Amino acid sequence: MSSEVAIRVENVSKRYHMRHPVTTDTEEETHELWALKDVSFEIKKGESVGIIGPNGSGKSTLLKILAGVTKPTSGKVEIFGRVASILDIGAGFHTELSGRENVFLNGQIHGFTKKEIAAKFDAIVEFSGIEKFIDEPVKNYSNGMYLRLAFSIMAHLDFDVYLLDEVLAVGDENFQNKSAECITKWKDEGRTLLIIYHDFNSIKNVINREIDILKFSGHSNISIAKNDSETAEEWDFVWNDNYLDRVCIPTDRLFRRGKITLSSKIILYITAASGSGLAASDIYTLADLEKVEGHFVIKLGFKLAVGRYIFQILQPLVNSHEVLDSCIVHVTQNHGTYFTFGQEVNSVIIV
Amino acid sequence: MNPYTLITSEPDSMQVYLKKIWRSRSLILTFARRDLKVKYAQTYLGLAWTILQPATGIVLYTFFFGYLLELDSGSVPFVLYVTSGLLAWNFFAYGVFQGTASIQESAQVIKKIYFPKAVLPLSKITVGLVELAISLVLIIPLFFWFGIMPSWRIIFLPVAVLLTALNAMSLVFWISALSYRFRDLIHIVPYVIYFGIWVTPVFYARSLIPEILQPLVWVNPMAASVEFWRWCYFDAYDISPLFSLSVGFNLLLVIIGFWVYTRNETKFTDFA
Repeated sequence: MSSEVAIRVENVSKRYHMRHPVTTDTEEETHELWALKDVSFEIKKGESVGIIGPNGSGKSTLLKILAGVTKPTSGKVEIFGRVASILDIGAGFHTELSGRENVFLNGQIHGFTKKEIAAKFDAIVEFSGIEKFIDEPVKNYSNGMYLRLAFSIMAHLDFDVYLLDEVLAVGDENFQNKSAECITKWKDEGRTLLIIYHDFNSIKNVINREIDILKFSGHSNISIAKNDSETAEEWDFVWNDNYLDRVCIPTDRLFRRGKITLSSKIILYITAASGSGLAASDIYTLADLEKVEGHFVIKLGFKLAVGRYIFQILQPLVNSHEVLDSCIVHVTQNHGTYFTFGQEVNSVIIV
Repeated sequence: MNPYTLITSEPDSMQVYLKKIWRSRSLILTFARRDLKVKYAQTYLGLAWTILQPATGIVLYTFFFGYLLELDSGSVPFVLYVTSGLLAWNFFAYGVFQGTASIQESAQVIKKIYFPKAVLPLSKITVGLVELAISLVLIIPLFFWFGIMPSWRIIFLPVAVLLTALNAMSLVFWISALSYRFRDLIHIVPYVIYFGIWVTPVFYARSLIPEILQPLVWVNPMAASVEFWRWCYFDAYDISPLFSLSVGFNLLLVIIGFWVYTRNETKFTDFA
């Protein structure tokens, strides 16, 4: 892994104007919605980084800004290398055109020349497995064929940086396997990956197959009950340096400092979604580090504003000499939302 | 060398944006090819529609305005007069109608993948250009029929095409740049197309307009374009000096429109 920077995000904020006013935490009415506030991080070449966070936390907005689809309200993004924005599988396909024509159309929308696409054409078709139907209009394709062809295009064109929006969530198991393989391949080739996950289930299968999910035998959950309400949040983290080698976290306005040193081995960065209603006084951190069957288990507890979520990120110190062999981060919430990442991801950004 | 992307809150300058369009020129053609293919896919008449539509217009206008109302068309036979104006007008109308719709139409793509969005209306203009070229065959037999030699000035026809395309792009820029917030502007498009033809000398001669209103004709940039088309076709056709003013005004509108467009383009996806 080189130390070259692939993506640099500096103080990026994004404001949306709402048609109808929303009420902020301080009971003010506003038409403004800050989807992102002062987000900064750097991703090095060859890193694969996962972004997790609840709905509305700005994950997609961040990815859209990186893809150039929308402009930040302030801040700066630099990307070194050719960017594949796979925010949607098959975006730009025209159903009346044949598979062959769509391969060229799609490749060109992604900024490739016809020549470059022609050079990869056979490989694209072969990987998609729809040789027989390549001259058939795409509207006659099954959903699976459509997805396979669309993904195959992205899989074969040469990009340096891949921005993926939960692509694994679509398609059947076969397709998911193929795309997981492909993501692993990109990672092995040293490409830079940025993946957002909305839903744990979308990658659960992949993880199950590829790595052993740790058995949480001895851990105790930390529950924090708010005096005024119901929420008992559970946060369990098991960390592994192998896959998540660097974790950074954008901080929102409430946590500008954004960095709390918890122990000599762990740096915890904290963030919260803009508008998530977290006040500094609302949060306290419980953290301790213990070794369970050769794995670190980090336990954290957060008190949350009612109905809102906070996500946090961990960074093992570079000088940590403990090498672990798998990583799972579990975030369990009262709604049953459950996020896990591992394998393809080597660092995590939580927005 | 690896490509480098810098993203800030600042929109692209006109120069940078033009460069982006230039780099996307093959995409323009690909989109245009796609549209042509899709448009005529599974139709029996195919490209014949491109001839049939203006031909119908020519027949109707000639019958009502030339034959029934006996409108004056000056030194040029009425059918030829209508044809020469209508082909230009149709090209313009197609560019405006499709061009303004093209960005809306591609909302799904532009939200997922970045490319300079002006590529979309430009590809529609390209489609219009192909259809214009095809429909131009309508005028050839008319020249023969009336035994009129086209003027040597016909070599300026590409300029006429360019002027008309700029007219269309100007409106597309203005409407696209502002309609993402002010949706009302979308409703202006049918006005321009259905009623615009009445304030443009397509099926009546400019001379029919009272002297006092004559300068007003040139406020309409399309009037200048249509007149220029005729000036290219017909030796006997004179053009007012006001024409050059109108062209200048038109160019100014395009440039300012393009500037406003580049300032606003990146906001489309937030509102689409």
